[in-house]
Amino acid sequence: MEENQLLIAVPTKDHPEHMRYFLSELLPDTKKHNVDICIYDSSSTEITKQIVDGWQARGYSNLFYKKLSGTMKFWEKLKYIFVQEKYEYLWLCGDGFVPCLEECIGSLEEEMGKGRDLIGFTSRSDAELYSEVTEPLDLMEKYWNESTCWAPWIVGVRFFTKKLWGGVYRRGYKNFAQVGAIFEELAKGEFDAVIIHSTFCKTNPFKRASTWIMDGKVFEVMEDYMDTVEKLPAVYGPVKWICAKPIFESYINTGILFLWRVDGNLTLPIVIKHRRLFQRYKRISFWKALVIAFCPKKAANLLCVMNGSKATMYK
Amino acid sequence: MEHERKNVVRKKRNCHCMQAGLCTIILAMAVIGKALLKLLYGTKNRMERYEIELKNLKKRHAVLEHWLSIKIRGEKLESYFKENGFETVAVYGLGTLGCCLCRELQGSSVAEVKYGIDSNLGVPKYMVRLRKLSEEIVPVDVVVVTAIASFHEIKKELEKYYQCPVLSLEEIIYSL
Repeated sequence: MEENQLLIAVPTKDHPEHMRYFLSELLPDTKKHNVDICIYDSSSTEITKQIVDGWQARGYSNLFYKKLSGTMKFWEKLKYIFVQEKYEYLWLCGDGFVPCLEECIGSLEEEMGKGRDLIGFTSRSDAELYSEVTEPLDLMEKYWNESTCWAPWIVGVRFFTKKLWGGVYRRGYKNFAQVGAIFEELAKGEFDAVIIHSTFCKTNPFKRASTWIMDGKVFEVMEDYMDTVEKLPAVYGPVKWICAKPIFESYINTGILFLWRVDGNLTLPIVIKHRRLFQRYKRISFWKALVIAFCPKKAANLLCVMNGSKATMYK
Repeated sequence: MEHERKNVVRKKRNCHCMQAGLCTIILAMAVIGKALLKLLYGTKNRMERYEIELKNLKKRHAVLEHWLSIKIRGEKLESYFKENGFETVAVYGLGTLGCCLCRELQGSSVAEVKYGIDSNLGVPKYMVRLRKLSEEIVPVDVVVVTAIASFHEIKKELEKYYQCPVLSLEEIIYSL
């Protein structure tokens, strides 16, 4: 890989154990292939910095560290990460998934050489092995589900101008700011993207579940998700709700509501606060969620252990 | 008159029989229900136990996978002990990971495993002398806990006996 061609950007917050594993797995491969890593740390402690310092002291000059304020808004963090001129491509990864660089470096180099605007990875069993995409609707149909996560995207940073991020902020894309930004930009005209079937990352063994699930924000994030889909440019209109459905179905279904009841994501105040979500998403009624909010936690736990939702959601 | 009295008695008897039958059915259903609930909770507890075991296995698998990749790269675990100046080591937990660590450090000129600490002294470990926590403490430079699933509890316990750092094997492996 050429110098300054790819940066792996890793925002993290109070996950030193995750970072220790992440760096030990990834750093030797990144050094070998001339890829840079930057840790954007919003932690309240210095442990993550100490871990990074340790690696830098051992000669990993391709590792960088930036301290971010803990109060910085999510979209501001993304803007800070994306709007830069040094690198040609940027791979945004959470600390919960570790990119398998050795597996995908060959195809990455090839596609970057072709000057792609966007390189996407998928490990879905029904996905095509290699698919070039130039139409916004086609991209949404083929790649919407993956696009809502961080790890599968590698984007050309020329997309991310300050102006674009300003637009993203004004339009109110909150927890899905990067999806909103990318799909807004791609809707403007033709682009050159590719989707490759690959084992592009592995789960960090320290990851239990997504941070927003652990923080009790499932309904808040789902409402943001719904807003994001609603605000997408008109060009996506014919397919956007069909593409958006599977994500709703995996996070809001009767079985999983019992799990949210157990881990504090579903309480009476939360159901009342997010009642709009149930009015918009008709498959689960507000009353059903309300009844589940009154279900004793012990019984809810029994149900979600028996139907396997606990094991699926909490790795 | 006699006939009517007999009818009333028969009806009363039937009513009692029905009540007794109903009570028996309710009782039987309660017993069956209780047994089913017990079975359900038993299964649930077993499933939860398996899930925890699976998580621990995944963690151990990740440690071993990383350890193997360190070996493939040609690096050695003893470099960690050398960098940190740990010359004498006590290994807590002599299961699969503990034995691997002892074998790795066997014959090393950098770090020597002085002894192992394990609650199960019955199983002979050929490569290292075993001690119990209740025995007299022999000072070492570092205690490495290989029972990674319950590291934090074990660390708390060990810190009562040892002044030296207590580290998890994970921490060492993922520092390389």
